[in-house]
Amino acid sequence: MEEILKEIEQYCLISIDTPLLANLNMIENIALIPEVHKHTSIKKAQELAQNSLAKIDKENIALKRMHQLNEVEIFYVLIARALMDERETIVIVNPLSILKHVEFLAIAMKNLAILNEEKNIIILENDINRFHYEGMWVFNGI
Amino acid sequence: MVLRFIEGVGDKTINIVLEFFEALKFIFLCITHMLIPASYNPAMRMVLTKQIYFTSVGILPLFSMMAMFFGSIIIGIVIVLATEYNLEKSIGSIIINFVLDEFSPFFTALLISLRSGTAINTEIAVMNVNKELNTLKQYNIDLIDYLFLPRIISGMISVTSLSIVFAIIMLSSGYLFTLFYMNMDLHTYQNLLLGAVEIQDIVMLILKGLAFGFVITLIPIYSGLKTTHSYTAIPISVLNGMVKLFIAIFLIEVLSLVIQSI
Repeated sequence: MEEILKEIEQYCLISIDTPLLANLNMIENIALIPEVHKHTSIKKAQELAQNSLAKIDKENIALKRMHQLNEVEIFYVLIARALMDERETIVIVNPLSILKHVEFLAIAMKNLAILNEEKNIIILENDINRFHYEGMWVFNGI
Repeated sequence: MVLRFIEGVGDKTINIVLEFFEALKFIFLCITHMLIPASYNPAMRMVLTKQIYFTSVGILPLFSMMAMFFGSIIIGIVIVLATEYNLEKSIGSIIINFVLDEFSPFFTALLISLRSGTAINTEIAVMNVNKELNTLKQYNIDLIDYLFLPRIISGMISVTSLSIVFAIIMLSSGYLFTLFYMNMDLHTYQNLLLGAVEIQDIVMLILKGLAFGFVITLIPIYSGLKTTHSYTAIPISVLNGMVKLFIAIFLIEVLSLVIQSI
């Protein structure tokens, strides 16, 4: 944990401290990363973002703003945005602080596997939340 | 007691000097980024287009109405005063100097400050408090390129172009007054203005527009950036930003008067 925090800049963070931009819709939030990093055209970057949402059947949230989404949908967009980043490893810090309810976490984890094909994903969670996860695995028969 | 007072004064002076140099560094960074072609990525260009639309196109109907209303009244007052003081021969240059050099850029700057300056200050302060600026830093998105530069360039373009529009509408609506008050025909009015307008009047209008546009966006951005991480700090940030902005506008106005008098 300490080693990871020391080298935090090498990792792409998903946490409550890296929220979505409120003045952009979901497509624009995801597309922003390739537009800035790779100078991808807006049309192409938005196509990439749209495809990413289509993979998990969430195309309907593409033009919505953050306040119109639930926690799980926000989490998906955070992941889709992080996957656009060039860094190899994504660190999800305290997912429960974003998702709020443990039952959402199980659904989110399944879709995370669909969205992510090649990147390493590290999940950091407070030890105090351990029982939530134990409950979740038992509840879902994992 | 005396020592504490001296320490206090010294501490405040050091802070003011440090803040001043920090602000200068920020200005320098913004200007440097403005000159680097790599700053103009697709996302930045999109924000720039939106900002120009919000700042100058959105305000156009209200702006035109105000220019027409104030234009006819103020040009009327200028003409009445000039007639009273037997300055009829200089009416053209008085109107041109007043409209192009002073009133149009100043009035546009005030209007855009009230409308867009406050909006930019609040937007940056809210983004700061909501940790959205942290998101941009974390994803290696340059704040100057993506957030600040489009707003600064849009401010410079908008204030300059709106000043020109304001001057044109004001001079056109001024004709109505000369028609009814002095019974002057359009041809005479046109010749009066065209004979009085000089290249330095147009240069001054453009330079003042650019300078006003720069401070109208830069000061609210800087003030928003300085907001501490609490929602109660947002109104304080806007208040401080606006006070500094109005001081800067008056300083530019005084500076332009000094330059013109040389």
